[in-house]
Formats: sequence, structure tokens, C-alpha cells
Amino acid sequence: MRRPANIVYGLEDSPPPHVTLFNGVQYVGLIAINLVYALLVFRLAGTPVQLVGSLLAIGMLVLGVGTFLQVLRLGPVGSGYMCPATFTATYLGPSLLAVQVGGLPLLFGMTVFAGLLEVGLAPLLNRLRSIFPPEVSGLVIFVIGLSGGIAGLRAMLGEKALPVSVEEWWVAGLTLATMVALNVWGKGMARMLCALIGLLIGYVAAGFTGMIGGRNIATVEEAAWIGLPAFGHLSWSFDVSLVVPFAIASIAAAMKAVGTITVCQRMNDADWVRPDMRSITRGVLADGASTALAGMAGALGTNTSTPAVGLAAATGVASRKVAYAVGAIFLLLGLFPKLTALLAVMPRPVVVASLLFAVTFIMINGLQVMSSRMLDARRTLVVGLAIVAGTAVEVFPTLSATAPEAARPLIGSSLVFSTLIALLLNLLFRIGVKQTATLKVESAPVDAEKLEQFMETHGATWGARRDVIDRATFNLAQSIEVILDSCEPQGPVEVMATFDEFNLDVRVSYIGPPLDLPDKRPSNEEIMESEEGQRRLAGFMLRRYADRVAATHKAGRSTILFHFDH
Amino acid sequence: MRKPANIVYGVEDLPPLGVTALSGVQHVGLMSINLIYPVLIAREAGSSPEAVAQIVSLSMIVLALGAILQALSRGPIGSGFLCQPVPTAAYLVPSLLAAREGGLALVFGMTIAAGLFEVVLARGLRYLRPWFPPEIAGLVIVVIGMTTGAVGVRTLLGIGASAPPGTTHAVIAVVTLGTMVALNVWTKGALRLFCVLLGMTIGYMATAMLGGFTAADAATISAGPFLGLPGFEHVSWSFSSELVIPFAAAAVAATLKAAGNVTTCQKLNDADWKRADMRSISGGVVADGLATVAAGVIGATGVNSATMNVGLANATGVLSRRVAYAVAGTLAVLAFFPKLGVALYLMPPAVAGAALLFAASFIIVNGFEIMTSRLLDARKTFVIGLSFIGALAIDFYPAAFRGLPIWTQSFVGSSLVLGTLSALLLNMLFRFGVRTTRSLVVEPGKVDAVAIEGFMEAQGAAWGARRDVIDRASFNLTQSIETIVDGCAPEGPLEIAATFDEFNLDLRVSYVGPPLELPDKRPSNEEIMASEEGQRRLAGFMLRRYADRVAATHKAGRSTILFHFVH
Repeated sequence: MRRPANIVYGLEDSPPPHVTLFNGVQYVGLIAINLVYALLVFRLAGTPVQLVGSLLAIGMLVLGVGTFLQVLRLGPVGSGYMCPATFTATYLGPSLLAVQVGGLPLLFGMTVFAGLLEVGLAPLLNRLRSIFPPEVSGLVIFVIGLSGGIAGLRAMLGEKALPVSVEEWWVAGLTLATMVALNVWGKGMARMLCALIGLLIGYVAAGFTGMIGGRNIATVEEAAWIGLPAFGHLSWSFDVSLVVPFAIASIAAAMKAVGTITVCQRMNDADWVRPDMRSITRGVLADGASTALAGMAGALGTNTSTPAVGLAAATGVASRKVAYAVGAIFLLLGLFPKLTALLAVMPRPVVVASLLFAVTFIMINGLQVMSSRMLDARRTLVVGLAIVAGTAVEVFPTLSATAPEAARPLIGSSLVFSTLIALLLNLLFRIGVKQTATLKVESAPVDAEKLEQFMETHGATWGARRDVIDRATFNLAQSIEVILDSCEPQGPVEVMATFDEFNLDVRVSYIGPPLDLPDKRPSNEEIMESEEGQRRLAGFMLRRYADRVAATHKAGRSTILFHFDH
Repeated sequence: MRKPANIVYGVEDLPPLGVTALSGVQHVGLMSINLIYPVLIAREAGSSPEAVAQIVSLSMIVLALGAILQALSRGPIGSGFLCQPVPTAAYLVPSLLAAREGGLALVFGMTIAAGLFEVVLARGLRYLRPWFPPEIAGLVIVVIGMTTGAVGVRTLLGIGASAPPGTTHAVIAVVTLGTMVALNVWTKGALRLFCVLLGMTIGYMATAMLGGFTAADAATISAGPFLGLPGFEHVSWSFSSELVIPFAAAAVAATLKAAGNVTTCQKLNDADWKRADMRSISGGVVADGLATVAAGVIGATGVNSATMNVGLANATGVLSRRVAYAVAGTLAVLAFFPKLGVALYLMPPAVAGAALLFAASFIIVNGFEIMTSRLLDARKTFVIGLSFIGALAIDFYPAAFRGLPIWTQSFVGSSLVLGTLSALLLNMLFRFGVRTTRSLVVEPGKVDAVAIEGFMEAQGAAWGARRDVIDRASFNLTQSIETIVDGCAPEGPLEIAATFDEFNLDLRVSYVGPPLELPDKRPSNEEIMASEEGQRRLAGFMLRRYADRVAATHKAGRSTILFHFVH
């Protein structure tokens, strides 16, 4: 493991205490905004303000423990990376559903289930990738963002909500504008903590307009400065109809953890080539354990924090010590009831603004994941019909009432309905997709457009990554040109492209002398001395574009294999 | 203009009459799917079957006129391409609104206004481009797709209808949508091209078999004459200032789409295509707008250039202008068969809903792809994300916005309007503080390819540049820096300046040292052998291939290489 140039303190390094502490505070500030997810769910459950304060305190303790679980490597659990836990929009939709159906006990019970499921999934991660290709997981992310945003809007605009006053619009606007402006034009700390600063300004504005109210202020004043949260009220229940929503959220959380830990690996190792599945599995185990623990203690499901890891990449501080600091700060914050009471009375417009800010990034991220693959008509229908289905559930909430009893849990949530439609169509449309495609190129001049079209069409059918296909196309055009120029093939050059989710192999075969693909640039003497030397130079150039090349020569027929990692 | 290899008949070519006529019929078959939009709008206004039949006939006449206007190649009207209009989803939601508020008269009046607005926009297109970057065009398309999908679901489920849909209804919907999807996914050629038309036909058949048509329906269809002139009894006009903004937003969307389709036509016809010819685009948008005006005047609904038909022309390789006249002729003949319109009027909701869902899927994903064709940074994320959520909020919670002051009502009345306006405003706002030139200094001893790529990526996202151009430029930059460090022995650091505007990306690499020559031709092997110089020339030759244009200068010991990329 070689430390990359831009990392100041690597995983094993110990930064000076003040750097550790400062970074810890920064991460906590970044993550704290996600407490609004928990707040929103508890509000919807009609929980009294005092209890919400206590639950938020428990939430902070859970985040602290989750961060430690991820970094400590206890037994088989924990990736060992600085990869803090956070509350997540992924569990927001299912959790809102759970509190509506069965209140807090059902929420906690289902969260335990989701965490255990994630733990169970950890060893099977590799298989998940082909069931959840990027356009499907991108769709899931997109719908998570979408339904999260809508849930937030419902809190403010829904039919059961109180009418929105003009002051509330102003406070929401100001909060959101502060967050956005600091993120767009701010620098350094102001930009990183834009959400937290916006939240503070929202509180101040709400205070000025008298929105917080005397009863709420009294609640904050009554709360003790220091104290343990109460665990006495906890109970758990289980409902089969909520298994699917929580299972989907659990899979989405596992996949996000895979992504985040992969980023951690790459960030810490300049020689990183491919994901190390061992530490990923350990990380997903920790992530699931943290969610199960959250359910037991009385909090929402948690997930690894992508923004925090992104921040680590930006600041170059990826030390394990910082994760200890983050964990410790969260554990400490959970012991100040006054602070959590203050959070618990967060005015409605501030909650909504924070939520919208967060889900914007989730939605666009989903879009980008979706379009990281080439989309042909099949994939277009998978994504398009799934989105229309999800929207239908949100626009016409009465939809599930008209469905048969057994199907209701599947249609009740846009996340579930969209995901199921996408999964089913994806499986169905796999019928008839050939994994191997062939093309014959007769002779010079090479029709580059035809080659491009060949790769483009098949790349889209396979749903391959655009950059890999681009690279392979360029390589193919170049190699055929070189072969036609310097190997004098007899008869046509045959191209065979084979794809599975992890590999793209392009085989070029022809009758004629093999093309040498040397590791090193041939010396000038060699190039001068013979035809062979020139061919070696061309071969050397070709080698650079593919991840691996191999050439064979049998019975007069030469075959070159270009392998691209996918 | 050089004809590309896969094009059989270019725009100026004259295919044989048989080919022309057949292509015309094929295009009309594809276009007829969109006649569902005028039918839905007329039904929303509570029109009689006869009136619907008239509107369908008149729509065909408008489409015929539009195809001819678009094919005109001289004067200020028409792009000169085969790029005919169809009734469009863009005007669907505003027109449904108008139909509810003031009947067909309001639909027609507002359609005229929208068409005129599009004509005005056409003149200013050149200046509008920076205000409508692809992510906004994409967002507008996604919102249109979402609302079309919502209308589809409403039609499909009969929400708001008197009787809730039964099992028959569900079976028909599944059969129709299933046919469309299956033909599209698993077939080739004509079957795939006409999957929607075939799906709808099978939907009709299924409805007939399951007894979905009543005796009254049969009577309606047999009552009408077989041949007849379309009448104008249903036509009158009115205007409402409240609907100006929704229709204006739809006109903007129509303008963007027409401009996009004409650009595609230019590319299809010219293998050497480099950049958009604004004259033909502007003429094309004028023709598109005038077709919508004509629709409003004679009593049909708004039309817009058809992307599907441009795709069909490309797939068949027949781009000849002559086909536009064949399309117009076929439509004009069909307009005199009122039974066709009545048959469309009787379209079962399950069939109409399925067709709308199918269309919406493609519209939405197309919009996504346009949005993500550019790199997205935090600014663009907010532009798209916040506008999108705002747009959805209106569809999901229309009641919540009624409490807002009166002057805001026309802005929050429709998701398309709010989405478009909010994206435009945020985009303008966030343009503050984006610098068009950025520089980076690289020490020869410490070339960090990841850092250089990160620099290009971050800048590309801030500018909203195309991903493929940035990838190419980024690869070029790392390679050229490596070559310079290896072959030119620069003294002191290399300075890199990247400059972007919407049309150009220029990378300037400058350093103190001998210039890097960038020859047109590969140096001969003798040259490569004879000197260091020859080797450097070889590297320079390789570099030249990635950029669209290169230039090297050498002044007072300092060499500068310019790599230009067309954007």
C-alpha cells in the first residue's frame, strides 16, 4: 500500500491532536445535518417533543458506536477505514411507512430486521452486482432521493399538514438559499459546513418571526445540561407487509457501503487496481450491525457517509485516529439533553429546507449512476417505466387502495414499486441478449465509423460503461489499422467482442504473422533494422490502451486478445 | 456537404417514386400515434365524436402543411430538411388545462399565441444558447415526460372517471403495453419501428373481443360518412392571460426540440459536419412555430418537430426532401376519411394510457441523457435538482400553492412552468463566479496524472462541458506533459491554461525550453533514428491526433502549444 501524493495523513498515520480534533468536529458537522431524517420520522409518529430529544440523543450514541464498529476491526466486523456512519435517506421512506402503520415499535423492529439482512447479505455481495446493474441501482438512488424529497414536502404541504404561512415560506427560502449559496460560492470551512450554517440561520430567522413558540422554548429550558437518554420506553414489533420496503432499503444501503469503502481503499492506496472484497465484506458487516444496533437502541437505520469520505479525500486527512475522534464526539454529544432538545424543536420550514438540500444531491447522483452505462431501448424501458410507476404511486396515493389486498404493500411505496418494476423488467429483458458479437473487416481502408457503430450498439445492449467502450473502440480501430498496415493479413480480419459484467474481451484474429506486443518500447536500432522492429513499435503503442493483452499464433492464424476491466 | 456512407438518398437527392411514396406512408404510420394528443385534449373539453373526428382531420392537414413549410429551403421559413411536425406532448398539459378552463376555443386561441411566441424565439436563438444549456433542456424534457406519464396513469386507471376500472380494463392495458414493449425489445426492422401502432391495434382488437365496445360505439362509427370534408363548426378562439405562461413554457420546449432536430438533420446529411448552421435552424423553428399557429387557426392542437421521424429517416437512409411532400400528400388524403377520427375518438382509455406510458418512458430517459451529457458540479446539481423537486411539488400538492400571493399564481400553476423558470433563474444566478480561464502549474519532476485529470474534471464540471470532450482533452494534456517533460527538458515549471466558452475548449501548455514540433505526417524512420529531434517529432505527431487543432509558438525561449477542441 503506497500513500498517494495528495493524502497528508494516511490511514495508519497519527496526526497531531489538534488536527485530529478539528477534523473530527468537521465531520460531525457534516454528518449532523442527516439527523433531520430521524427528526422527520419521529415527528410523523406524533412523538412528544421531550421524547424526540431523548431519541435524537440515542441516535447520536448509535452514530458514535457505528463509526467505531467500522474502524475498529473487531473479529470479522469492520473495514478499518475512516468511514463514519450517518442516518440515511435510504431508510427514510420505509421508516415513514413503518411509523404510519405501527408507530415507533414497528420502526425499531423493522430496522433491526434490515440491519440483520444487511449482515446476511455481506458475503453475497458479488452476486448482487449482476441483479442490480448500475441503471437499476442508479434508479433506486434516484427514487430514494425523489421519495425523500416528496416526504419532506408532504410534511410541509401535504393535505394533513397545517397551512403554510408566508413567514414559513420565507424561513424555508432563507435556510435553503444560505445552504446553496455557501455551497456554490463559499470556500473552505464555509462550504463544507454549509448545511450546518444554513440550519443555524434558519433557527435564528425562525426565532425572530416567533415560530419556535413558548412551549418549545420551555422544553429546551427544562432539559438538563448533562444526562443519559432514557431507554425505558423502547419496544419492538414486526409486520410482514413491511419486509419488502425494508429489504430494498437494506440492499441499497449495502451497495452504498460497498461504494464508500471502495473509495476509501482507492484513496489510501496509490497502487489501487481493483476492490479488495475482504475489507468490503467486513465493512458491510459493520454497516449492517450498526443498523441492527440502531433498531435495538431506538434509532433509524444508518449507513456509511459518502460526503464524509469525500471530505477526507479533499482535505487529505484519512487517518484512523480521526474516526476515533468522530465516534467520541458523537458519544459525547449524546449526553447533552439540552442540545438534542434544541434539535427536537426544529421549526418545520428548517426541516424541509435541509431535507431538500440533502435529497438534491442524492437524486442527481442517481441520475449520474444511471447514465454511467449506455442505455439502449431495453434499458430505457426499464428505467422509464419504473420511474413512471414510482411517480404514479406518489401522484395518486389512492392507487394502492384499488389494488388487491396481497399486492398492497408492494404498491404502497414509490421506492418499492419502482425497484420491483425495474428488477422484473431487467430480468425479463435479459432474454435474447447475446454476450458475444462478431464483425468481419475485409480490407483497407478501415471504416472507422462501422467499427464504432459495432461497439456502440453492442455496448448499449450489454449496458457496458461508456468510457470502457470508448477505450475499446479506439483500441480496436487502431489495432486493425496496424494489422492491415504491417501484418499483411490474408482474407478478412475477424473481430469478436465478449462481455460479462466484469470483463470486456475483444479478440482480433487474422491469417498472417503475429503482432508482437512488447512491454518496452523497442530500441531505435531495432526499429531501423527490420520490419519486425516497426511492428513491435506499433504493438507497444497498442498495449497501452487495454488493461491486458495477449497474442497467440496457431496454424497460420494470429489472434490478439485485448482485455478491459469493467 | 459530403453525404455520409449510410445515407442512401440525401436531402437534395431524388429517390424513385415508389421509394418516395412508401417512405411517406411509413412516416405517416409513425406520426399517427401522436394523434392521441388532440384526441385526449378534445375529449377533455367534452367534444362530440363528430368534433373529435374533425379535429383529427384538421390535425392531419396541419401536419401536411407543417411538413411542407419545414421542407422549404429558401427564404426565412423552413430548414429545407425532412423534419416534419407531429402533435406533441409538450402542449398536452397546458392544452388540457385550457380545455378544462375555457373549452376548445381557449385551446385554439392559446395555441396561436404559443406558435407566434415560437416564431419570435426563432429570431433570437443564437443569443439564447447560453441561457439554455443542455441540463435545462434535459430538465424541461424530463418534466414533460413525467407529466405525460401522470396523464397516462390517470387515463389508464380511469381516475376521476365515473366507474372504477375493472379486470377487462387491466387486461387490455397489459396486452397493449406488453405488445409495445415486447416488439420494441425483441424484434427488428418494421415490427420494431411500428411497435406502438401495432400495440394500439392489438389493444383495439382485445377491447373488441372482450366486449369493451358498446353497441352505441358501433353505431357512432357506422353513422359517420365514409368520405367527407373536415368541417370547422367547432372552431372559435378565446384568450386568457392566466394561461400565457404555461403555453410560453411549452413553446420554449418546442423551440429547443425543433432546434435539436434540425441540428440532427444537418449532421445526418453532412459527413463533414462541424457546427450548427444557425440559418437553417432558425428557419426550421420559424416553420415549426408557424405550423402551431396554423393549428390554432384552423382548429387543431399544438405541433412540434418529431424526433422519432428523424430517427426513422436515419434508420432507413432516406432523407430526401421529396419524402416530405409524400408525407404531406398521404396526410392530406387521410384527412378526408372522418371514420378514422371517430375510431380514434373511441380509443379505450386502457389503450390510450398504455401508449402514453410507453411514450413517457422514452421522453424521460431521453431527458436524463441530455442532462447528463454535460459534467455536473454542485451548481448544476442545484439547478436541476431544486427545479425538479419544485416542479414535482406542484404536481403532487397543487393545493398547497393556493395560499401564495396572486401575482405568483401563474408561475406555480404548472410543473413545466415552475421547473423551467426556476432552472433558468438559478442558472443565471450561478453563472456568477465561474471563471472561463483556469490555470495549473506542474513541476517537471512531479507529474501527477491523477491531479491533472482532477483539474480537468473539476473545471469541466464548473463549465458544464461535454464529458467526451473533457475526457479527450484530459488524456491529451497528461500525454503532452509527459512528452514535454521527457523530450524537451523544460526549465522550471510547466504552465497550463484552460479556456472554455460554449463552442471552444483551448488548452495552452507553456514552458521554457525548445518547442515541441507537431508534424502533420509521421516522421520517417531515418529521421527518428538520426536525431533526438526526430523522436520528439514522432511524439508530436501522436499528440496532434487527439486535438481538433494544434498550434505551437516559440518566443524568447518560451514555448507554447495550443490544443484546440471543438465543443
